[in-house]
Amino acid sequence: MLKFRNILLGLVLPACIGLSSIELHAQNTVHGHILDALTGEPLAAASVTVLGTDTGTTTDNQGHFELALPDGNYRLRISFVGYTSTEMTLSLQPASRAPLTIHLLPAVIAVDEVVVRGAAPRINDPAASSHHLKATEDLLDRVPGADFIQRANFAWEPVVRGLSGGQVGLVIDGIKVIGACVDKMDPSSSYVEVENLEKLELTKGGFDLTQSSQIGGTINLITQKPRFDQPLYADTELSYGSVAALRQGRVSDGLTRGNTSVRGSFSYKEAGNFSPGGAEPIPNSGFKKNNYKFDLSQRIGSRHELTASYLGDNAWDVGYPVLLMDAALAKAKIYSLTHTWRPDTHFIPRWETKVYFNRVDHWMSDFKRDVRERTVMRAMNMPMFGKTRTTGALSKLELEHNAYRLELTLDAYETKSFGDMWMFSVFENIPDMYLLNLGDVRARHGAIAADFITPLRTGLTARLGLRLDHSPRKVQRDEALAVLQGRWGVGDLAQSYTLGNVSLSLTQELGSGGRLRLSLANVGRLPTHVENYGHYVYNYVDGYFYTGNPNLKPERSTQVELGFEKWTSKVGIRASIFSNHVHHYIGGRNDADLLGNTSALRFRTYYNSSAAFLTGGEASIVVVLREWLELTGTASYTRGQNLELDEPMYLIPPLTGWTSLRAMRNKWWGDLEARMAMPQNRVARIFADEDGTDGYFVVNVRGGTTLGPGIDLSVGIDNLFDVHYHEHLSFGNLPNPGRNFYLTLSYSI
Amino acid sequence: MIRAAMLVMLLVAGCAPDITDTDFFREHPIETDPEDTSVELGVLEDGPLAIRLTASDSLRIGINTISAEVKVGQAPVLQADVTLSPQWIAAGRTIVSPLDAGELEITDTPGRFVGAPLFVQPQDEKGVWQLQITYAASGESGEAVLPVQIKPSLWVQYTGEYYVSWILPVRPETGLDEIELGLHRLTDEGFIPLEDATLDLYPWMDMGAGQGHSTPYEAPVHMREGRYRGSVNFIMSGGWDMTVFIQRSGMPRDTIDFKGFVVY
Ligand SMILES: [Cu+2]
Repeated sequence: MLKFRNILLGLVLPACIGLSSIELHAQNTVHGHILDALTGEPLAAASVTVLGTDTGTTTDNQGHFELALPDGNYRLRISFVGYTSTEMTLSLQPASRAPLTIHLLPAVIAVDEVVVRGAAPRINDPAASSHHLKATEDLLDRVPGADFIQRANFAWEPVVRGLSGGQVGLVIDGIKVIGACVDKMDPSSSYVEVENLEKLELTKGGFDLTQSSQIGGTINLITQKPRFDQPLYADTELSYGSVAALRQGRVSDGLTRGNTSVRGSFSYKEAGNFSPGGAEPIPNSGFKKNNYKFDLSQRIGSRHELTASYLGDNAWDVGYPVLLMDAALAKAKIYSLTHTWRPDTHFIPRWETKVYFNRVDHWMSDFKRDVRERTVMRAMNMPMFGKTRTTGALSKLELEHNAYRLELTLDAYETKSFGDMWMFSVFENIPDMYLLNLGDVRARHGAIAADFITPLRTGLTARLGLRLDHSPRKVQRDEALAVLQGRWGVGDLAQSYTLGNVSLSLTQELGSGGRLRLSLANVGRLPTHVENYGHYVYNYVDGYFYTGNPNLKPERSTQVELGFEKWTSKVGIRASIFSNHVHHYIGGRNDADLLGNTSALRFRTYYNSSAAFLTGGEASIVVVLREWLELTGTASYTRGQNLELDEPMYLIPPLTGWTSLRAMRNKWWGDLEARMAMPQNRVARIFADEDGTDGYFVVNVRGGTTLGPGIDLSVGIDNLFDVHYHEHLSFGNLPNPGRNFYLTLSYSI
Repeated sequence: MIRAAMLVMLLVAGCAPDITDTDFFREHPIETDPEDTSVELGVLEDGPLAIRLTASDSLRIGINTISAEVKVGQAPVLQADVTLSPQWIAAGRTIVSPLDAGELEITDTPGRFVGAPLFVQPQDEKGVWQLQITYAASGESGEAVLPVQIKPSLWVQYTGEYYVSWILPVRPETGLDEIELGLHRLTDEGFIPLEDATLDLYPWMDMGAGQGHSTPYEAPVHMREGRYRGSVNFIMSGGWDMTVFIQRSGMPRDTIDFKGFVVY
């Protein structure tokens, strides 16, 4: 049975919850009361979900709810639109009496949250629904305002409101994992497979300053950790997709003994060449990938918990049919140690501190290709290697006093990066060529951030974000420094940035579930290490080889967002409009001193152009048609203008939308879904000779059933009508896959 | 947990390629220890004074590094004037080529003096080389002549009018390199340094298949005695063509091309 909780958005920031008592009736009917943590007002239509089950309910007009549950241990998730969702553990024993009292904290800024649990992921976004997910990208793709740069049928790079790369803060459990590929083939989002994804938090715009200095948005991929509420669990899943002969298998297990809990997972996937709509398979478009994760949690007393985590990801033979190179091997290893302290005072609810280290290695090669005929870098093989090593510490302290909430963040990390490239001509008279793309660039980064929430008066809540970043960086290898000195003048070319950021959000309750939000921000983002110190880095957007610029200024952004939400028992609406004025927008300028003799060998340097201006909005709607049937729709649009060149910005998605009809009855469910995009003809012709993209309309259908205890089957067809299309953000107009039949079988204990 | 904590301590070391290290014209790999290739040219003895001349490599047309160890018995002589003058002898005449007073400079090693004489050979003439040595040290002074073997090389190119010598760098590295060129003309008086020329340079990397690119550079300007200095920022290692344009008033523009190799 489909419940309204599925369509309510959870709004997530590190949670504050006041649990007064957890006691239950002998009949195991749980009574609870959900209140606003700041005002004490009861929250109607808040949702309570029992994780790992299909059980859940919503609160009545006085904020009360009831749940009937057998004996056992449960994990409850309590969420309500506009509030920070929270989870709690519930131990059901007979003869419990007192009701639960749960406080939810207003989130004030808009956060999209996608929650995944178990073999059948559940997405608490009005428009986001997928019971069959081949990758974390599928989840994010359904959030309006989020798009992807596609370089291959692999590892898409997230774009939020038209911005990407260093403009967006992408972290895994708050950990910075800096890509090792100078061609950005390795966004860290590809390291979190769905079996390890607990929750995805997305904030659009530069309003969330707790994760990083950014102007586009933050994406935090929160991974699954050991679960003390489950003594033993195991999930396995096998699936097959026809369009690329995708075979994948996943397994995850957990075990708890007393104060110790472990969890491990492994997955493997392998795809062959994929076929676009109505066309033959694209050669060299497959990949192979495995992923493993291991976590060990130890509780020390009732207030301390230590978790050691390891996440490994390997991808190889990844074909990039529209790029010059393939990824021969891409490896990532992420280690962390997290200490969580819940002092059990009302003043400090939680203090989490983490130290981490990660290493990313990336080998590119074109030895499998015929390089004689290509336009760029013709008749030469050019194996490339890149690596990064990032060491960091992250500490988040939550404080509360009366109706005030304050979260303090200390965020420090250091990244060392190296990249090089050989060029072996097929002609014997051309000597081997070699260069350093990144010569041991060291970037250090320290930041403090404060996130403060307070009610101003009844129904009006304010959230203030402050962040101060400091980042010194330099090139450590003399040979690389010498090349940059030839370009920028002799000196150590060291750079040190200090960056202040501020954001303010106000939320006004309008009554009967309506809410109006105004957010303002003046924030910045630092140049990336490649923008500062890269050398001979090919940019597929404009087709130029780039030299980094140590003198770049940070991009600065002034943003405004106006949001509206309204939720009744039949309809949910969420909409926002934004504008984003980016100063010192980092672009590319022709390098007159470095000339090639063909149009395919062109050089640019990064520079701060005057400004860019983005504006747009997103809207989502959910209509409950029947108890078992709902209709959803989303639309998002971004318009970007490069004010210096007076032309549209490059890689800006067109008007895009999803709509779906979802049914769920007894053990059966089914979705009929359409994704559509309007043509994009606002393109960057001066900067990048970018071409326009046609619109498309693609229909997906899927369904599933429970075959037996813990056994689920789902089948579906993506791109039912085998439409040939490509996204505007797809490099080289690489088409998307055509009709894909798939089947997934999962088993959980 | 221990492993994770230890890994936090790890630092990065970049990995550089093991590329054959060579001089600009790939005539000889340059070893890390100059002692491995050093060649003894001869020892000059004058009473208790001994001057031992060695070259860092076999002598060749172009610039060469020669050092002199000056000793009295086993004791190094700290102050000495030693001048080397390369001379080309053919058809009964002696051509000073082109340094006539290459004075060696003192080094940090006591009793050791170094210089970089330039050997420029007239085109298509057969003859022999000698080094004329003038010395004054430890109360002794005099002149001597040392016959030497000089290998032909690409370090000096002849345009038909000018002798253009590639003087520096001997081993160009990626990054910003200072370029020094020598410009001489052969007259009856020997090699005459030309100080009034306007030089330009064009660095070019041929990447094959009709592709190639230049790199930022500054044209050499005259410094002293026919030597011109400029700079080139080699953006990558590999083969580089260095075209030199020579312009003197009233003369047609001349061009010469050095094809060399830049190491990482
Ligand atoms: Cu790559």
